[in-house]
Amino acid sequence: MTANDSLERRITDHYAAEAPPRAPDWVLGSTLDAIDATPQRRVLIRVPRRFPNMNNFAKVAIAAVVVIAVGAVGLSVLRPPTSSGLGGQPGASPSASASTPGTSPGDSRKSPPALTGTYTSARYGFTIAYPAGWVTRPATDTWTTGVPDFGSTTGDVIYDPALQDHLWIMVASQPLADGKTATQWVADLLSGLGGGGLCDGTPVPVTIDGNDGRQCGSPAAAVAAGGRGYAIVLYVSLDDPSVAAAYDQAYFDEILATLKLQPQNAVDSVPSASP
Amino acid sequence: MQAELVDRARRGDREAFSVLAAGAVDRLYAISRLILRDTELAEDATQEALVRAWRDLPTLRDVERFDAWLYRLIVRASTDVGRHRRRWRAEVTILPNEPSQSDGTSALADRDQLERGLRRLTGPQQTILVLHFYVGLTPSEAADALEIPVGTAKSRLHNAIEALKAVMAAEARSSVGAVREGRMA
Repeated sequence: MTANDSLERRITDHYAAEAPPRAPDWVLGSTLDAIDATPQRRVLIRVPRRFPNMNNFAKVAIAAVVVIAVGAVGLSVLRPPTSSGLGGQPGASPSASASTPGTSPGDSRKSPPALTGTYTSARYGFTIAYPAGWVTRPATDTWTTGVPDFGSTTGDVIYDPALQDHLWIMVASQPLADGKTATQWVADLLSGLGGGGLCDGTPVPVTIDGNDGRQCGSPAAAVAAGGRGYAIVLYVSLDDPSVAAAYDQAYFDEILATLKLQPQNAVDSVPSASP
Repeated sequence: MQAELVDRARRGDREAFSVLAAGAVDRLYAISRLILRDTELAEDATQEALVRAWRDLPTLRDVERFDAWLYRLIVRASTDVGRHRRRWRAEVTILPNEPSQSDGTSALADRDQLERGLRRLTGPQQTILVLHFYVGLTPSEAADALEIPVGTAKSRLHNAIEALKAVMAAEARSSVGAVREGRMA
């Protein structure tokens, strides 16, 4: 047995002896009380918004199926009730249904708001433009691990007040660990995003405020500048296809184009407002 | 059986989630307790992880990965809770350096030495040791729970063991030095 084996055995035995066998009963009780008042996220379907490996024929075929399905739903909703037997009233014509507002994919697409707001992060050293009417929520804790999501306190979150955790932007930054290059940091970050289901597809190069970064099609991006790494995520729930269609990669690109990196202004430990 | 419960809970069945939570709470609490080394913080982190599990369950795509996903949540909650309370690090720094004088047996002295060594490791180092040596996760599984690349998990595990060895060796040297200088009882 080597010294390492011996130490590893000691660690295993130590943890086995130290681990509490049971949690206090009230922990489970209060947890179950809490979930009674906690709504679940409303994610109906989760599929990649972009299909990087799909050929054009498949994309057209899927688009056609979607158009037909929307048309069929429209017909079933708009057509007046008819008797199923002979002599019933003729249903609405397909052309009449197709002209009804809201049934064509083009009409159902919502326009995202203009990027008229400007957010300056006191903690993470950046400014970014955001959609009109959205709400900002600065991080209250320093980001060190994982990737902050909507509920995290470690990311600067900007969100649609109506859709809340179904539509939001998150930006956070952290110093590059000793010896880690910008390229490594970006690759690691996007790898972590992939594990969390936030980075679909193969990352591609993107230039952010003159710096080389990478982005994936969820959409999310990572870049490093001035010794800091930045993560940027636009989260769009797929509950509402028209929202998902509107807040697309092009819109994310518009947002990224407004991002100004100011690593010299970042602080990694902001004093708490409370004593 | 568990997959069916997860699927039901994912679709909003609170009873199904209650069964899952009851089956996981002791394990999650033990993990958090070992990571944080603080009973109250571990209680908070366990509750936080389970509430997040309920809230975010609809986003879990593969019901077979429920356990791995829970590990990720308890690690994240423990990290957040530990950082928020600012007690994790403080607890490390106030520990006495002297070996316990009251053990009387070498086994207990060894355990004390190991415990002190573990407490001097960083939070991430302690976390990966718990995941590997207590939960039994492979470096790849631990990487998933920690949301870091596999290579980083492997190097962090290696570094944690090396750091622990170094801390224990340094302590052993200082103990010997103290005996030579007549400072020990």
